[in-house]
Amino acid sequence: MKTKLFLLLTVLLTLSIVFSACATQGTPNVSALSDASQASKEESTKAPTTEKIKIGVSFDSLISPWWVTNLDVMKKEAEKANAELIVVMAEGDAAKQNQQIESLLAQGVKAVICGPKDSNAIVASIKKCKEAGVPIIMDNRSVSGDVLPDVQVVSNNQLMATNLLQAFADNARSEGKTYNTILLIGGLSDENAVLRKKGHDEAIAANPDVFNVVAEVPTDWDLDTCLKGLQNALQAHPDANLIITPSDYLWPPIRSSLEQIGKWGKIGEANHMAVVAFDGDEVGMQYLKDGYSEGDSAQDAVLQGELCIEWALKLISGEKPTENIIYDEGQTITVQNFDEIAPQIWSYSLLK
Amino acid sequence: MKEIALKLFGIDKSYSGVKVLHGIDIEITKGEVHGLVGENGAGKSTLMNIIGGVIAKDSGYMQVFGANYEPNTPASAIDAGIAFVHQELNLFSNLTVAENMFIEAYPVGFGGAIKYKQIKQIAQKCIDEYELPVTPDIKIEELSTGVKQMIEISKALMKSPRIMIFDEPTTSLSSREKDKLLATINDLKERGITIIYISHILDDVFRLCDRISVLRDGHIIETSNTGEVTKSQVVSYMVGREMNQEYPRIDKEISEEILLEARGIRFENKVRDVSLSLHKGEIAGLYGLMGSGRTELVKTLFGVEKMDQGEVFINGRKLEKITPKTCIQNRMAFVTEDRHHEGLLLPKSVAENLIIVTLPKVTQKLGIVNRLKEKSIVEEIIKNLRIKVNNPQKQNVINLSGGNQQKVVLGKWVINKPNIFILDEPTRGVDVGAKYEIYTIIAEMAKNGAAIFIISSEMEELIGICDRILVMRDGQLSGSVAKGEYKQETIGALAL
Amino acid sequence: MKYNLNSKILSFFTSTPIMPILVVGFVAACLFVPNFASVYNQKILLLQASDLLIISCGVTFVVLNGGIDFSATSVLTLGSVVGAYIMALSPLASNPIISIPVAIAAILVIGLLVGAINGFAITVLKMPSFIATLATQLAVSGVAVLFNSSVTEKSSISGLPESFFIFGGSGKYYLVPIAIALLVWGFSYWLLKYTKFGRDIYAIGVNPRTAHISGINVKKTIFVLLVMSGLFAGIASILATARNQVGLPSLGDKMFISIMAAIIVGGTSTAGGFGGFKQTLLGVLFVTVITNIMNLLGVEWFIIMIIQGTLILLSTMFGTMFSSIWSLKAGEESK
Repeated sequence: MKTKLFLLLTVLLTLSIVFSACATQGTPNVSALSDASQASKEESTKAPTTEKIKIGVSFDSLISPWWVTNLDVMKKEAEKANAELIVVMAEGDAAKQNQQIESLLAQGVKAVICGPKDSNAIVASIKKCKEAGVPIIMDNRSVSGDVLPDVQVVSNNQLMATNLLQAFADNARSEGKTYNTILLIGGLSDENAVLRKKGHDEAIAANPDVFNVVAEVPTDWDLDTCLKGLQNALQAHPDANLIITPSDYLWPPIRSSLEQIGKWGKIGEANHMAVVAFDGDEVGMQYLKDGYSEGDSAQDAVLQGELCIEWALKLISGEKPTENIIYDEGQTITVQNFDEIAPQIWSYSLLK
Repeated sequence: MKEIALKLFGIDKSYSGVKVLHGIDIEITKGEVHGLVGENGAGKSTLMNIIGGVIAKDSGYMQVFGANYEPNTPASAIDAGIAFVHQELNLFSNLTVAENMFIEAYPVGFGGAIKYKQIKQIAQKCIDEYELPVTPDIKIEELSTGVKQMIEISKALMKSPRIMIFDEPTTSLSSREKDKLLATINDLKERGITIIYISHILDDVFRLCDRISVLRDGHIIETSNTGEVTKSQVVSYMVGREMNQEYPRIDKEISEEILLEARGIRFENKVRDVSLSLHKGEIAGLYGLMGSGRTELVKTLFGVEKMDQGEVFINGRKLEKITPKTCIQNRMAFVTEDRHHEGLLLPKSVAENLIIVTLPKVTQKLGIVNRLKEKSIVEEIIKNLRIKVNNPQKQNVINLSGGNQQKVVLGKWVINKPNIFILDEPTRGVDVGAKYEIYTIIAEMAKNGAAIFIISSEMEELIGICDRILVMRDGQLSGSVAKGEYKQETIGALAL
Repeated sequence: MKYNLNSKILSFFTSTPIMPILVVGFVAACLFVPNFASVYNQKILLLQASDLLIISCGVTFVVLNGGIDFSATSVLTLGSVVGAYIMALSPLASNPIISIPVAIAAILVIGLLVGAINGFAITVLKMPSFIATLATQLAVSGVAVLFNSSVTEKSSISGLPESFFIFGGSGKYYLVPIAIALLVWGFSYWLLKYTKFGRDIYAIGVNPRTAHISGINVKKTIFVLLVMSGLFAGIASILATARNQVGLPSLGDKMFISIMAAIIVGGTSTAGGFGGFKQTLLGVLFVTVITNIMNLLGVEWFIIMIIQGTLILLSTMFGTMFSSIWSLKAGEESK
């Protein structure tokens, strides 16, 4: 009797595999069978018999709205080109991301677009893609070293940071103001954070008459760490009047700590604290619009998504890129040029 | 005609085909204190459990104050007015006195809230009545055993019982507490409560009881008025039996050579300064009641428990480190009392169990076990001990009968050919035929020059095979009786 | 004869209930899951199974003995960062001929040390293995993160020498990790089945009291097993670090449930005393196949965890049911 239960379990398991196979494929059993039997006869590098080109997308997570927009754009572009996206999330596990990319290769994707969790650990996957002859594109993150992905679509983080801060400094000079500055630093395992810091440092060094850095707060891209660090810095330097943040992601702890010391106010009010941000997402842009911040620098989630898909398709058809790194120059938006530039930013339609 | 509080007629009970109670007839008169005495295994607990509704009888009937009494559960016993004060107190140590008293039925008020005030008042009344040195709020765990027992008694009294049964109540009491208990029992008697008092401490039984019944091997041997019987008569009723078990007669020599000597063994307060020696070729027995410290003694000798003080000498040389492994290396063997938990690997096969002690001897270099050798050793011992098993590699020990299981335990030690063999209750739960085989094995080993040390609660068995019998009482050796002078009364007296 | 055949089949089922499910599942996957049967996929499947097999063997030893080792995954982590440091950032880094063996030795030593700490805590301090190894797990993973942040600003250590990656099965060396895994597994299987040490492990797992009284050195055995578990985790760390080609302080974080799933689903009893390496091998294959299938079908990671958890539950239930029928049947034989 128990043996029968056993066999029942086996049958159930098999059925569940079959059903989930059908469900994800979205095609009736028959064609899945013929596809599968054909695929099992061939190596994965040969062309599959389905019409749509498969492109693999490996992200860390969708926790930030920037990535959500980025992915949506890629989906739309892929559909236009009659390509199919297979999306996997690593959820913070770099080793898992490598495993997932292996799986993507096993599924016969023609290209991989990747937003890596760890710029070092992803090198192993880049190598595997090269071995399999599958082009790999980095999305909004750069990788350095001997082994490079075919194309890297990145914001010119350093340039954007410098430009924004320079614009701010020019304005400050014209008003004769100087600023005791608290500089927030992002998670230094993230290339972007490193580059933005470089850009900030460059602008600060070029404008010593405007900027006086009183504190640097490492945040490791963690909201809690940022909150504590910023609170301490504000306590230690009650004369600070400018906060530079390398990402709009850190707005919540900024607001919270400013409110705590009664310095959450708009430009022109007595208790206003100047804030220069980065990213250009709807949160940052909203604060800029409402007057809580002086400037923001926008990474173009839409442009980068378009570029990724564009280059994925180009590489698949054999085209070689002239440059390895393709820069998104970004946009500098300040209080002064808001009305002119802001409508061009991807998050503008989300503003209230 | 005196009123009969509790009447038992023809009570039988068997466990797995073995009869443990044979037609028990007993009548307890109202208002008397009736003592019930017997050896370990006589059937007292079984009988009490039947009266208490914990287990079911096989046949016979019971009456409480003339009314038919057929308890299904302990609650039925309580309903019939029977209260127990058990040997292991049923109190919750982390709750207070008051809470424990009411644990079975809290008076509840609105919405199920417990009426604490009411509980405390009633508890206080009980406390005052018995002059207990407690308040209702003290937690049980802080109290001495004697006081706990008083609380248990008060708890029992709250249900207004007509019959109270005390099971070995004085085992953990100081003498002052014991006096108090006995006074309380007299008190209860004066209140008209009928009392059954179970104990093996004859002094107390004689002090307290109006009549005494003796239980032996599941039979009521005798019921007498206390005034009309002596202690030694009671002892002989308890232990005296016809010697109907056969024992093998084997010629052997006992030499003067001492194989094991133990000096000044102390372990907690269970073994208090014991010294003994075992000679080559002799079978020495150890008799005593439960709780006398026999098992603890042999456990320390084998290193299963660590002795607080004491020395052990094997062949004249002191054993520095006493662990089972070193003992085995010194050719000792130990059959434990609890074969299920300490003697066997129940879910494993017979073969695996048999070879376990001898494994080092069949292990070659690199640690590989020589399976052929293992198999032949196992087959041989199965043949020698006549262990009933078809496929020793596949059958698990848990499925064997008690007798065969015990043979497996014995077998695993015998294979190793020990010089000093300690056995704790080796024939417990074993049928008559297997018993004889076990006695033969033991005797053969002694003939071949081993020293045997057997603990048993069956005096008859010890008398049948031992060359001398040591008796242990309260953690000490109370005496030793040589073969020619075996008398059951003497030995029994030493134990009590 | 007929009864013999039936009982042979039945005993096969009861000792490794997972076998038929694995076979059927595998065949079904080949037929119905696209790309499952491709050479590439089978290769990555075996590679993924290698690390899991090695570390699961180590933990299996401890489980057979009646205990558990939560800290195996933390050895994976600490070994990874320390080894990577030696090969990439330390003064030895410029000389791979020296740095690689030193790193390998260091990783193994870390495994041995963690195992020894566990062994000490359990045998001398008499802590239950559950608590001791859990504490070690937390402490050691903390040390790994600390170590990493003290030697580099990044979240991982890169720049490992090319030749080290053989251990990860890069390029044409894909057989290396598989071979190492099989070697470790083979050793474990042999040790358990053929040596006295193996018998001792089972005996202690069933009843440590009886084992002790029967002359087995229980404490020594437990200690050795924990050290072995640490050592095996170290070996797995070498392979995993080579595969990912970086020292990663997050390595192995979520691995523990896969290890337990493999061991339990394979048929080894967590109570101790029953099971073995045949079971663990099948369990590891099963878990890897399931994960692989789920990846190919695009199932979310948390669903995979739910499925693994459910499998553990189901196989434990089946295991108890089966062992009780089997002992009943054997009982009928002897009466």
